[in-house]
Parts: sequence; structure tokens; C-alpha cells
Amino acid sequence: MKTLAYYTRIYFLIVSQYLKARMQYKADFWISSIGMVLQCLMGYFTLWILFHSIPALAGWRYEELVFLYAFSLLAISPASIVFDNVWSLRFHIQSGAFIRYYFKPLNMMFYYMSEMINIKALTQLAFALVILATSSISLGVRWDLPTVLALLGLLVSASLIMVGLLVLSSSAAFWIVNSYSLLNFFVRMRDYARYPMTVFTGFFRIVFTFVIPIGFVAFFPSQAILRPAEAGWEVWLTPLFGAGLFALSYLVWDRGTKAWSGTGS
Amino acid sequence: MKRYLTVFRASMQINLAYRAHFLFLLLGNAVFIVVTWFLWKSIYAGREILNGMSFERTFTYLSLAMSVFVLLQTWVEWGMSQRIISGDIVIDLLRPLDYMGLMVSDILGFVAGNFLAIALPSFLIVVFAFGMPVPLGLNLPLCLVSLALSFIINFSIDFLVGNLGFYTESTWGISITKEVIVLSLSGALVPLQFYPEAIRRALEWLPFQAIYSAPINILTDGGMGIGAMLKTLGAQAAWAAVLVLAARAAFARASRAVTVNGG
Repeated sequence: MKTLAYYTRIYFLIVSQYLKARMQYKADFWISSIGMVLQCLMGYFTLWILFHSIPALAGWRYEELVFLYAFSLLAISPASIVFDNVWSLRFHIQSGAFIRYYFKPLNMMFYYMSEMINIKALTQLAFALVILATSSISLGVRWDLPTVLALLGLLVSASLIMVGLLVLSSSAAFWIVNSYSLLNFFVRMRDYARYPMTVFTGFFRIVFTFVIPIGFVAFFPSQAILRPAEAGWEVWLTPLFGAGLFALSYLVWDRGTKAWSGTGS
Repeated sequence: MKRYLTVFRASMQINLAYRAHFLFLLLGNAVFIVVTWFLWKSIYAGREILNGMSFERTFTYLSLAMSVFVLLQTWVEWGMSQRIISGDIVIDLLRPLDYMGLMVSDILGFVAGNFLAIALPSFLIVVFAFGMPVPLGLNLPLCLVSLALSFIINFSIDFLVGNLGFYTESTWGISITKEVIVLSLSGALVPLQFYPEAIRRALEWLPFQAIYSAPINILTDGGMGIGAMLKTLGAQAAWAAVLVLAARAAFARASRAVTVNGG
């Protein structure tokens, strides 16, 4: 069993090589960062347009939804920064290039994910922090120690859910090769994670809480921070879903690497 | 023409080879339609009309816009700049085919599969499962014409942007920037009627509204007379012509500047 310190050292070695290579393309970094900020602004702009016509959405005000949006962006950040290589998995599988990850004395998922770090997603993180700060100021959120700890714990859990969903859906490539539609599905679902789950009723409320658990990505955690009196038992499930989904995604990935038969070349 | 048909057939076969991919695409789209229904039901909150649009109309509009989005999301600019950066574009340029024609036939194979697997089922879901009123008549064939023009406009924008691969290596950055601009300025996410008056006026002068609003309004707006439909199609055709010419000019100019590693 290799130690955590060993893996940390290896991670920084691999990532620094990747960053050196990327530094060749400075213009790419700036153009991509602008694209990322524009993408974040688009979500903001959509909310702004909507609230031109309505005073509240399912009883939630504009500033509260900005907070939800910020939380959802923060929750997706670790997945987009550290696990961005999920998007290339299907190409590696299709071409057979994935075979090389079998030959290293390292954990395969670790090695595969460490080969890419998405630095442009840091701008998404920065954007999210800014609108989280501005919205919580206008909402008068009191950041005492328990609230900060709750925010951090819930963010880690929500991030694990997003990472789990992305790894899980990209791993489908081991069996069906083209996992794009599945991966894209969960990434687009994230766009709906920023709305109050109370808009859903009956059967679909259950679906988006337990089956496609986007409620835990932003709504239930934000509810616990902004409206603790209204928060129900769901918020306590957030860490459970985070740990559970991540573990499940790891298991499926592991199964996948064993089931994949290569391309024969 | 036969050569282009071969490219079209091959691309359609490649696209249809991954059945599970289509199944998930279709299921995913159905889920998005359901989510849209709940979300906008909540936005309307019992109001009959918002910004001159009934809930039924907004819901139908957005569900169809989502399908048109999947239909037209073909990564032309992505594929182009990747091939330019890797140098593989040289192979395409050596072929006895017009490059834009080659790309169109390749992409159309992809779009044809998407039309059958996504756009058509989504339309059926909206009309039959949700019982949305869609007038049936001359608007159906005219909508298809309009959709074809949307494809040409969207393709030309992608092709125009793809040329940037000759000047920069930033494939993702350019692609996402273009997508954000097209989506927010076309009314694909929120109907343009919801935009503030001044912004909406300005957007009418840009080609993006011709991609989503035009075919969907022709299909769903029962109050639209034949004259108004033809006027919409005319405006689309004008944009299509301008953008095709611009895309061709940009490619002719940029491909002369091509520098390929070791080439």
C-alpha cells in the first residue's frame, strides 16, 4: 500500500509536467478563461432575465438563487479542475490508447486523472467565490464558525456527488465506448441543480432527490445555510450521498478497467 | 454530388454505430423536457400569461429549442481546429472535394441521425405526452425549410469560428465562447419575449435569433399568417447567404496562411 505522501508527491510531479507543456499555449489559457467566465455569466444572465418577469421562484428570491448558483459552481469546481480527463476517456477507449494506464505501478484512476489539470476552471472557482460573497452580504448571512464549517462540509459532500456522477457516467465508455451522451446528460443536469427542488412535485421530487441526486448539489445544502428553519432531514443525507456515489463510481471504474478488452492493436 | 453522398452515408453509419449513445441521448432529452415543465410551471406560478406568452407556448418553445440545440450541436469548429492544429487538414485539402462541401456532407450525416433520434421523438413527446397544442398545416413543411436554414446559419457560424484554428490553438476556449454567445443571444434558454425590450430590439439585428426562434415560432405560433412565415424564412435565407459567403471567404483567406508542423 503506497502512502498518501507518496501519491501527493507523484501528483505534483505529473501535474507540473502537464503545466509546463500547457505553458506553451498562453493564448489558449486566456481565451479559455474568458470562455469559462462567459459560461458562468450566462447562468447569471439567465437568472437576471427570469427575475425581470417574476418576483420569486417557488418562494425563493433573486439573491437566494444567486447564492444557490454560486454553491453549485463551487460544488462542480473540484470535478472540473481535477477530474477533467473524464471527457477524454471515450477517445482513449475508442483508439485503444487507454492500454498504457495498465502498465504503471500506480492506482489507475489516480494516474489517469492526474494526467490533466484544468487550470482554466480556476476562473470558475473565483467567479463562484465572488458571487457567493456578494449574495451572502446582501442576504445578511452570518458567517460564524458553525456556519462556515457546515458550508465546507456540505461543499465537500456536494463535490463528491458531482465527481461521482461524472466518473460513473464516463466509465460507461468501458462497455459502450461512446459515453458522451451520458456524461453530457449529468453535466447538463447540473444546470438544473441551481433551482429550488421544491419546484418538483411527487414522483419527480423523489427522482431528483434519490435517483439523479441533483438536489444535494446545491439546493439542500444552501437551504440549510440560508433558511435553516425550513431545512429538513435531506441535508443530512448530503455527506452520505457524496461518499456513497464516489465509492460506487470508483467500483464501477475498477470493474470497467477489468472488463475492457482493448482494441486488439 | 455522388462523392458527397458517400461521405454523408459513411458519417451517418459511424454516428448510428453506437446504439447505447442514442438511447441515452433520447432518454436524457426526455428528462430535460420534464425538468423544463416543472421549472416553468413554477416560474408561471399560476399566471396565465407572462410577457405575452402562455405557459403552453413557452414550454413548447423551450422543449423544441432544446431538441434543436442537440440537433445542431455538431462540433464543426471543434473538429476543424483540431485537424488544423494536428495538421490533418492537409489531407482534407488534398481531396478532390470542396472543403466546406465535405464538412457539410459529413455533418449532415450526423444531423440526420440526431433528427430521427432526438428532434422527432421530442416533438412527439411534447405534442402527445404533454398534449401541447401545435397547429397542423402548412407550418409543418415550412418549419422543415426553416430548420434547414437554421442548420445553414449555424453551420456557417461554426465554420467561420473553426477558421480561428489557423491562428490560435485554443479549441475549447473558442468553442465555448461561441456556444455561450449563440445560446444567450438566440433565445435558446429563455424565450426572447422575456428579454428586456432594449436588448430584444438589438438582438433582432443579429443572426442568432434566426437559428432558434424562427423555426419554432413558425411551428408553434398559430397566429402567424403565411405572409409572416415567408417573411421569417426570407430573413433566415438572407442571413444564411451572408454567412455562407463570409465563411467561404474566411476559409479561402486563412487556408492560404496554413502552416503545418514539418509540412
